[in-house]
Amino acid sequence: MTNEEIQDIFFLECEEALDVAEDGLMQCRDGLADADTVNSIFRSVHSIKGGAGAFSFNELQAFTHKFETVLSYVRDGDLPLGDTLNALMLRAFDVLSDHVNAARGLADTPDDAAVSAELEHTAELAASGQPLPEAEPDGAAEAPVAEAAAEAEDALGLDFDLDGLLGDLEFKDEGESESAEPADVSPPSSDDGMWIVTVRPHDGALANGSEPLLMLRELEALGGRPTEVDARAVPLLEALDAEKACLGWTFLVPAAVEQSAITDIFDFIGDDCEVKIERGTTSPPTEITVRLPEVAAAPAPNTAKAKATPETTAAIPAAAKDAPASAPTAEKTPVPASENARVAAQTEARTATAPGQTVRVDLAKLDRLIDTVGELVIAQAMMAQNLVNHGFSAVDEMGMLDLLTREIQESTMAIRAQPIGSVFSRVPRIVRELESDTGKKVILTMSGESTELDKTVVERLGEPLTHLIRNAVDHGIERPEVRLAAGKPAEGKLHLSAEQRSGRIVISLSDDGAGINREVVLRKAMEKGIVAPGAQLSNEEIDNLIFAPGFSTAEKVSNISGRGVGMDVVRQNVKDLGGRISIESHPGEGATFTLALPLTLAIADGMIVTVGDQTVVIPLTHVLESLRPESNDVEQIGTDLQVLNNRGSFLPIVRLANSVGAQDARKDAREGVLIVVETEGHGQAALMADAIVDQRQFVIKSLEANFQPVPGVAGATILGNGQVALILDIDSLVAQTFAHGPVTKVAA
Amino acid sequence: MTITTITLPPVIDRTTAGALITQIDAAMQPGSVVAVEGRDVMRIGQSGLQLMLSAQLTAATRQTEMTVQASRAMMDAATIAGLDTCFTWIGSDHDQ
Repeated sequence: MTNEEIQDIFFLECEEALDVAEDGLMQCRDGLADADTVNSIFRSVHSIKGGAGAFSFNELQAFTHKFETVLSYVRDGDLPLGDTLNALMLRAFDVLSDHVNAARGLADTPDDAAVSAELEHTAELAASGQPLPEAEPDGAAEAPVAEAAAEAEDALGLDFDLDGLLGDLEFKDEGESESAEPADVSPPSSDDGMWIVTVRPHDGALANGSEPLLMLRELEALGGRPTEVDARAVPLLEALDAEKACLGWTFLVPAAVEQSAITDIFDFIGDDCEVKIERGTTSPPTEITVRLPEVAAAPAPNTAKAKATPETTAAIPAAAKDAPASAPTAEKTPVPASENARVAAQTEARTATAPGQTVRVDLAKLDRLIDTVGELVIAQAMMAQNLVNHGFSAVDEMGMLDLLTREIQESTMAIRAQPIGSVFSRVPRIVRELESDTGKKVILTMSGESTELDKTVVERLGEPLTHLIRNAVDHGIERPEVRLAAGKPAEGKLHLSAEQRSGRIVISLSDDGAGINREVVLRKAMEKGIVAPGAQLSNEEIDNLIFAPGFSTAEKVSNISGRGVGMDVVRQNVKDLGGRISIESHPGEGATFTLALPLTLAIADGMIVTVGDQTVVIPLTHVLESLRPESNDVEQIGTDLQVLNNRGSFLPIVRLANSVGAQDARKDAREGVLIVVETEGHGQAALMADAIVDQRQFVIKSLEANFQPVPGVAGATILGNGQVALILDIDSLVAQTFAHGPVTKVAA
Repeated sequence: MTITTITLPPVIDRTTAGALITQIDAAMQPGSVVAVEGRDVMRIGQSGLQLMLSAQLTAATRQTEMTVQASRAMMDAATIAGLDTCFTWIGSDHDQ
């Protein structure tokens, strides 16, 4: 492995460490921190420091050393957590993040003089036993953080891998002497009993994108097997809360597995999960006991191997709390030697491969694979078409091939998928900075961080999301005194969520601020000439004016907003990603911005239509409906323009034949098919085609990469008959046809 | 007899599970049949398994017939969680 490759791994581990540290610091700020929280922050910063020294990132190493020193005093109980200290640690974290970015070459080295001085001063006060000025110890500070210190020293999980790699290259960690201490290892012995691991996730284990099943999967990878499932807390649907954890497990893990391998799995879950690891039985049971709540008619297990035991739900809390590690012994059954041998062999194989659960792959290689799979999909479609042409329309193997091709396609696309949490993780810092800049108070909540979408979409989502958050805090949420006067809490609420819905990712940002002041927006739009004087616009049209280029209601330009470029850029960025943005605003109550994005940029659903001698694809995201107009539905305006009377709304008809240069297309809208589409900047329009051929998924081929950008065309695809079909860029195509937008149209 | 089909989303996390609780609860009227189509599920977490178990328990108490077409991902998650023997799901031969 080269130095650069190891350095890349270091930066990836830095990202993970920063995530852990930020989570911990937020818990400190919210008064939820305990000894483990402080330890996790310390370990994270310590990990970064070790790697920084090895790679000679001196500024990063020097800063982390100062930060780590303060954290060590907090960990040892010499510095009580309080508002002053929490604020300092958050500032130090932000500077640390900037240092990491600088080391990666993504930013300039930050000016850390002020924060460094504060850290040093704080450390001096702690060393001399003096309290921090205005320090207000909270409950968390009273936690016996020192007690867990020794344990933390032994569990430097984050830098374990890196240290190993660094050892291979004989790096010298000049600034570090204690980091080489090995993790706690219990020598494995076949004479010892198997590990009994009791896992009981609490409600918090389901929050913040955590998923307890992932831990169980890792236990399984170590050769662990569930022996008991405590499902007594699962209520009936009417009382079920998706936010609450109702399950607990007992796993048996082979004795040969090192204890540290098990503890590493739960290293960062903290108090969100109750975990007990004990030596116990020497033989695994053959049954899994599922403890169900006592209901009128419990479900029957579907095999004789399971043993479902109804229990009273009233006994759950105590039972869960005291769940003894030896619980399975009641159902313990001797097993044949062959079973032990099988488990041992399985364990050996799994423990040998456990460290290699993930593979880092060059993105270019992955994209080549995706391209090839795209070609495979096209080839398969062409073969199917050929078979039909030759009279073989019902070939069973083609159905199987179709299924397999789709599975391969979905699997390869899933490799590119990333949780949106990587973008969401930046949001708390943005909000913190905005709070500091504006003097407003914001309570940020997030959900759906584990929602996955294409890596490129994730990477390009950061900028529009940042704009939206800035807009929400700067324009949406009112100042504390204004909120109090309006009968609202002084702290504004901001909720960011992501979810997968109907094959798209929907990201929503809601605030409980003032909403859009439509009177001001309309007045400003008229002043700037965006809207004709006297125009009568609907509430929705007024709300959408904030996306107009150059629009801003800010009275003065600040570093947050007011230049009138933000929201326009947001809409353009979202559009570039093949998505759409919408607003729902309620004056005085707040606003919600909703982004609907495609799961992937490589495949899309589309309607294939013919226009004269051409076949083109209309992305389904734009399509509202298609219809064959009656003769009185179409009206002629002037010599060129026809409009569709669509249930009282007059929509301009766009002749696709003119747009794509098709020959022999139908001339009259009444003879063709009209496809009503929604555009971002020009409202609705009716596209005129000769016929609709098909509606299906298609593989997008970039014209820019293979030819050159063509206005009105978003890309191309290859149809089943081998023909190349252009994918229309509906927004620009309609914009080209009708240079005047809907606002002007309405005003006219 | 009313047959209500509920299609599960590709990802069942606590967000989607929250929405499904209401949907499945409303569909489970006494004497009705609820068909849960889960063959498109690609990822299911603890919230989703709790939901499915709760739905199964609820169906039993309300004399509702519930069938669940499970994807391989659902089967896999249930196995890891030790609940595979408890669920009365129809397997996912189609995507084997």
